[in-house]
Amino acid sequence: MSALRLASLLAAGLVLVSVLATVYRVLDVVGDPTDVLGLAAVIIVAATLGARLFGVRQAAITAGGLLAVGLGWYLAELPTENTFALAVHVEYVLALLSGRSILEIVNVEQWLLAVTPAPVFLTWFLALRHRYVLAAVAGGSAVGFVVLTGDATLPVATMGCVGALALLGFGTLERAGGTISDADVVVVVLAVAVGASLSITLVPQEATMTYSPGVGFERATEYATEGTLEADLLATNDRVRIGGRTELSAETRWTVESDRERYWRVGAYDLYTGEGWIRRPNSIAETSVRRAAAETVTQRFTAESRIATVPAAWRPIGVEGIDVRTTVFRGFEPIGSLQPGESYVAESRVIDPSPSQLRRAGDSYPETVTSRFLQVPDSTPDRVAQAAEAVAGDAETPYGTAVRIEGWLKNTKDYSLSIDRPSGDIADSFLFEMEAGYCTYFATTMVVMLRTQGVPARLAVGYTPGERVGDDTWRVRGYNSHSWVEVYFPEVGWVQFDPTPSQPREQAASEQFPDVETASDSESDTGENSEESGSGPTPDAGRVPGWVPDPDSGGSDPAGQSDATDTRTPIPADDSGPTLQDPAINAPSVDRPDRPGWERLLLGSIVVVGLLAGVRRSGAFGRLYRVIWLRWQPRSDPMTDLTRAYDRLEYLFERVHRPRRAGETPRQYFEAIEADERAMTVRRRYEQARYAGEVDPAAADRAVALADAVVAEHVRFVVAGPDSV
Amino acid sequence: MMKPTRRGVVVFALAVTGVVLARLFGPRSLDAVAVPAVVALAAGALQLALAADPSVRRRPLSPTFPGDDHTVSLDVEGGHGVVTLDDAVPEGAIASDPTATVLAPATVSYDVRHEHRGEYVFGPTTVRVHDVFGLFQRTTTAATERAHLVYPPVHDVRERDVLARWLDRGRSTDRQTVSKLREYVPGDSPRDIHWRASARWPDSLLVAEYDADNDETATIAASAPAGAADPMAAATASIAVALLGAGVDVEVTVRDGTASDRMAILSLLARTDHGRPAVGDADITVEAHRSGTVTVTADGRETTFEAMRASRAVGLNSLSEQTDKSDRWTEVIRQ
Repeated sequence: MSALRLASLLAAGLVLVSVLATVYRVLDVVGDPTDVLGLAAVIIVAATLGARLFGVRQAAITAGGLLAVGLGWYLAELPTENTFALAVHVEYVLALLSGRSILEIVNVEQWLLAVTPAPVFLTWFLALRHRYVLAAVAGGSAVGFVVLTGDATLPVATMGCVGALALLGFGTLERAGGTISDADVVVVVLAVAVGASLSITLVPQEATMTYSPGVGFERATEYATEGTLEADLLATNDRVRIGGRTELSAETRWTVESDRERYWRVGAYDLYTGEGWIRRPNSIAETSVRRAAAETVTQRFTAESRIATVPAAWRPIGVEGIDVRTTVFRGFEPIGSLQPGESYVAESRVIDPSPSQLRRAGDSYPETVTSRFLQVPDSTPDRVAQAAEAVAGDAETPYGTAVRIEGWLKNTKDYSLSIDRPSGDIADSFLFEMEAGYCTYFATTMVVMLRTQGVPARLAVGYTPGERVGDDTWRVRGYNSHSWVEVYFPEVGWVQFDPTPSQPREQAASEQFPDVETASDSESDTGENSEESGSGPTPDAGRVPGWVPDPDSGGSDPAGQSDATDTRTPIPADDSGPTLQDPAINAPSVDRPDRPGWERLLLGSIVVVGLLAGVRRSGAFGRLYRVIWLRWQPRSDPMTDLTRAYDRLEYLFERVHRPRRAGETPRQYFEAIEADERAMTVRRRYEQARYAGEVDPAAADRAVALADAVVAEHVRFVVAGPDSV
Repeated sequence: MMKPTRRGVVVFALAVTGVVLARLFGPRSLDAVAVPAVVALAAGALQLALAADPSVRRRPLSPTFPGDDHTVSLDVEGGHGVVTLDDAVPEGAIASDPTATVLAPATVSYDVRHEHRGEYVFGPTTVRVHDVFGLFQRTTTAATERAHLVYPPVHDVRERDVLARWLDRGRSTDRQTVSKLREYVPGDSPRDIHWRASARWPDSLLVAEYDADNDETATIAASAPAGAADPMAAATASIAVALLGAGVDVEVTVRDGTASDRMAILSLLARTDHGRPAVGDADITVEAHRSGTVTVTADGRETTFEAMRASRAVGLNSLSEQTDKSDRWTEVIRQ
């Protein structure tokens, strides 16, 4: 196999690696990713055998067959009735291509097992059969698909596209009968492409439209400023983006009139990818039996700026006044956006279970809950589970576990908006490598820790109550956007927890927006985490909203307020959770330098090869060799030494004076350029040796020494031998 | 002029699609699609702009006989980048594959076969230079036109009654007086080699020409109606070669002209078309008929060429057999 053929096959391999890496990453989030590696190996072996046995047409038919069989099996396994409704599937494919992640597909593991073999088989087969352009098309289509769904990260997508480009280049050369040395242009261009792709932004960065199945195309509303916490949490209604440094926005969003102070919830998310949250579509209606006391709370929300969310207290049962769609987990999405002044009324059934109720709830979770809300990516490090276990300590019930974890996070980690986004798993990094973070980090970590302990939990996003501006009126601003935790208890339902330390959070907001009135009085309350519950001495000031358990106040009723309408949740008595100094968890994070991912290593090696090829093409290697050759003469036998000594001098004089002309003898030449006595000596010895056929070693040594000396006078950095003059 | 190829258009469309989709639905990692595409397009355009056009030269084509495969070769030199040659093959020639993609410098060859005699002009060659990714191309035409002669088939003439007069004389010629000596040319009868004279000159063979030969030249006049020129040419060529092989001087006249030595006769007969020669009478008259039969009249006797010839067309083989035998003699001499 020629080197060029090998390069072509490596290019095809690069495309396949890109596709399989994306598939692996997706499968890692939802299940066990090693299956896909085994499948890929089988497919590649099959394609290698097939390339020897049958032709391109049969391969295309085989690939088509694989795809058809796979999709048929997948569709048959779908739990819905409209399996064969073509329009629905077309809509879902369009949604995927418009940026919805593959993770949102129902039964995504089966779907991936069904559709991955065909393009892998076809690409490898075609490359083995020297049909490089077709291989680039086959593999490139698969790469293009995962790029459009947004599941391919930039390095992986670069690998796929540069691999396809390499297939074009090497393939053309191979079919034209070239050799690997003709390929240096290709390699240089590839290296430039890699570097440019990772560093240059060419495409527009703002989306103008969205597509949703059942809805069609809509203008993308951009109401939240990029880069703010609010945008990360609420801008897209199907995912939560966890960023690094973030900002708060002070725009007023809502005026809320409500009998009860609650968090105004926008939605929840169940799928944790390690880097963010995605909501999986759900075709099974959620049911939960409620025994806890419930009352209906009516809220009126008035939009104060253009907005496209519909918050409501948990657990909402209806929204009136605007057109909405229900998203899973009882969230709402407006059809169109709300203009300032538009308002709606939401009705919610509010529950306030007591700790004893929650403790008694047990852990027999329905399958609909365990199948969705215990997911953590397969690649989550074990130490996360170990830490969660250590923090939970000897808690006997899920409720105790939840309380312990919430309290521990609140006490151990600091609040900060200016952090660097970690490169690994968010929960793992927050636990072991970061000292501070903001609400998304706290909430994500708590959910993950609970899930590792078998407690179903999910992330909720929305707004904190906001600034109390009247008896029953709150003003909600951009910086009130928040994320917290919902934990499932059998026969109770979803109960909210908030592991983010609220006082620092409020402080951050007030520092950034000092003109805005916040509940600054709450800072004077001692030792209690208080929500923004208004300004001035009201009966509500300093009270923790009843549905957030407060482990810090060790069992006693805080400062005497109790309201008949708001049932306080008593504190668990056995709050003996781990403290700040627990060594098992607070081991100083090993100061490990961030390992560059394998993607960057691979891409980096391409760039390095390109640089080497470029250098070689420019002749720099040859020149470098010459530079060293002139200055350093390793010794071998006398004849060679003497000849080389002479050659060095001739080369030197060629560069310094002029080349020796054809027909000019060495003597004439040296005399013409007026070489000094040492050079003449070397020349004489050289000529004598050439005609005599033998050389005296001592004479050779001397010649080399003289040559070193002469060269040293004209250039720098001569490596002189031991006998140098 | 540099133009994008189909591949180049597709790559450009990919880049544009990436930008459009990013504008519509968000950037995702579409930079990885658009940026390498743009880089490749820029690099390809640059490489092609810097690449010089290669020079394409056709190797000489020696004449062949119908039914024989011969190789047409084009030498590509200079220039950089990938070069695709597309040679213009004349009508009537069956070429294996006149298109090839190579890296300069290289030689492109393909096989051609002709079924009929004639003068075939190969070329010009269309030269397309691509960049190494195949995204842009520049097309020029190399003037590589060259004519290739396909002689008429030469059949072995067995039945010699009609030509007996000349052939016998050629055999029984008194070979005492040598009128001149000349160098051996492949195709000469080995009987004419003058060994004694050749022995004096190493590395060469001398052929003697005798007095007795000079007297009479066999003149052949050949004519054919439209559509029957091929059988006429084949018959005339076979007769002429047979006579020449027997040492008889031949002069062939057709409508287009006259020729006397073997190469000239074959070339003339390769090109000639139907018609009647202007000459009056000739020793041997070859007349083709519309049906395809050829009447040969000589020495008062008339016969058809089919009756005269062997069952298979020997053509080049018989000539080359003669040549081979001569070469063997040459080897013997030289040793």
